[in-house]
Amino acid sequence: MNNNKINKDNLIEDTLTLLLKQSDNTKIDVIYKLVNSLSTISLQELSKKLDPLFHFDFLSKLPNELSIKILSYTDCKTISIVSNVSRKWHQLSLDNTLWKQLYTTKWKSLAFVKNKISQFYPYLSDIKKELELENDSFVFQFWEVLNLLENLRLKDYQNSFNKSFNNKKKTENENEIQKKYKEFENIPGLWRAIYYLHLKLDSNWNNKKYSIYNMVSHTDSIYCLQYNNERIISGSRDQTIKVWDLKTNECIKTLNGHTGSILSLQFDANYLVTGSSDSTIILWDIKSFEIVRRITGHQDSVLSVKFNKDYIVSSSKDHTIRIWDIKTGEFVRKLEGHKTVANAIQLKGDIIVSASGDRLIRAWSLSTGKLLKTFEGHTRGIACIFFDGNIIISGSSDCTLKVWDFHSNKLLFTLYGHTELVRTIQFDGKKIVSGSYDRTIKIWDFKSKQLLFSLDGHLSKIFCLQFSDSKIISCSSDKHIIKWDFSRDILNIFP
Amino acid sequence: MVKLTSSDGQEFTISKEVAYQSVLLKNMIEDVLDSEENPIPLPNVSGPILVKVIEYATHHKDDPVKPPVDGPRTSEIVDEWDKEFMNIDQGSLYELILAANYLDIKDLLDLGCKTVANMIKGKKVEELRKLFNIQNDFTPEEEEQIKKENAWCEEH
Repeated sequence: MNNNKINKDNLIEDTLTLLLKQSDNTKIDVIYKLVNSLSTISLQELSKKLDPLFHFDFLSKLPNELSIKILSYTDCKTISIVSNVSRKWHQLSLDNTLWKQLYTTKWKSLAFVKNKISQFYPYLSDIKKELELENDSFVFQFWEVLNLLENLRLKDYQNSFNKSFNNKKKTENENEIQKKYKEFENIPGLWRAIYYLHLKLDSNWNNKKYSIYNMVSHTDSIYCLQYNNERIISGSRDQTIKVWDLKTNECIKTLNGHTGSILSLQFDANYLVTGSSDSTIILWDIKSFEIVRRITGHQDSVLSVKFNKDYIVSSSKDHTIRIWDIKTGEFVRKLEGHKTVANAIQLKGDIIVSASGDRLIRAWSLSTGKLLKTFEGHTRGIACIFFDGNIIISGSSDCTLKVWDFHSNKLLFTLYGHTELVRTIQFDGKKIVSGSYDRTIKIWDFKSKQLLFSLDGHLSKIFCLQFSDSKIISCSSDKHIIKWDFSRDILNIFP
Repeated sequence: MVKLTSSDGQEFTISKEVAYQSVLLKNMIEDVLDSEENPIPLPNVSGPILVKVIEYATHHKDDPVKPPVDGPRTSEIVDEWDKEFMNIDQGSLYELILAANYLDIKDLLDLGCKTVANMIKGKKVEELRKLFNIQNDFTPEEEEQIKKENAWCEEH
């Protein structure tokens, strides 16, 4: 009996050894015959056992770069599930290249992040040091990256004041900056953190979640303002210009120079240009806030000033638009043919766009002074204008906003909602934000042409506003500047 | 004409325009003058997979050249023929992706990656483990931690 069993076992063993040496075709033949002899239940058993052979872990077996490519065709939600599957999948789900691609897919452009990341260059070595401590830990340092960015924000704030007012020389050349940017981009988890923050920011805009900050120091109506990453500059009927710290909301400097209301201003990295009801324009050094020169020539209030690296363009109540050489202050030319006052002007490349009380928008060539085109449609005077090179948006005393295609001259659409004169407009390619004498700020969606929501807070006419991805800043005849901050509850790494 | 030899010794003869779909082959053919005589060995591609690759390259040989775009990605496969072509078992799909990568056929690689992406999308964790025969190798604590970290993704 026992011998028989041993003989049988040996026989099977030998047969198996023989079969394994055969060609695939022979093996298939034999297996098929064997399978055919099985009972239904055994067949099911076999099928269960075989099943895993046809399923295997792609993402772990492929080279990382290909697995990342596969995942980059999915989305945020899928990746969150992927990270729960196994250790290997979890590791893949955190990859920077992957999140950068997901970010690009969702928000189309990286320009926005690149701009902001430049602020963190000085702290690169700190970040690397802190992250190296975390590199070995299994659980990903997502929250650590967020905390780190949060800490940097404080440092950023402490340094920004010194940086901007001490006129520190930049020692880094372009290549150095490019190299640092690359290094920064490769910080583990950075792109995931950026994706997260942008998502939160979008959600705050969509849900109208913001914090409100009131800035009080001017003693009369505030007509104009502009801000950048560090400061706000405002001009008022109280004849002063004030410089504010964007982060602390405090007034850090008051400039005196005009003997009338400051009606319009613009600044860049070198200059501040202000236009006043005292009929003069003042060019200020942005670092020292000293007066570089005073430009006289207009016969009445200067309503609107704009400048580029070569010229200052101004429109005045004296019915003229004049162009001045920014380096010498010399008068260059007048734009002829305007019968009424141009309330607002915009300058983009060689094109000057002016909006006037005669209900017309005109486009001029800066270099020749020639009138290029006119746009007609408003039923009352036009108070404000926006122009980005392609789209013109005008706000009028007829309470509407009109959106025009500059190249085809066509009126694209009209936005109804304000109940009084529309005084200030900005557009970022997606959102249109307008401020009105009806005391509200309205946020419109360009694509759907719908009003998204209204902001109430100012107690009187709104004169000027500017917005960016995280905030709106507006000023009013109620003497207040209001910062509507949509980066509430999230650290603000966005401009 | 160009001759190719797969890893298992099978020989294939294809036209130059089909071969040129592969950047690797194009470079090899241009570098070697007598490629019509001596077969090009492809030690990383098996016969059955090379058949698939040639089928794909032949079908798409007249496609206009698309400029490379570095922008938003979608896993949608528009071409019905492509969809049907990719209706293969996991093992073949895996080898086909590797072959497309090795031979440098961008469109086929993209197609393969999209196909796997579509297999992953819309599934639950357990379904994914089953589909790809993966063991859960997390400790319960790790699993909990990862769930917490990902809560924000699921809200949106």
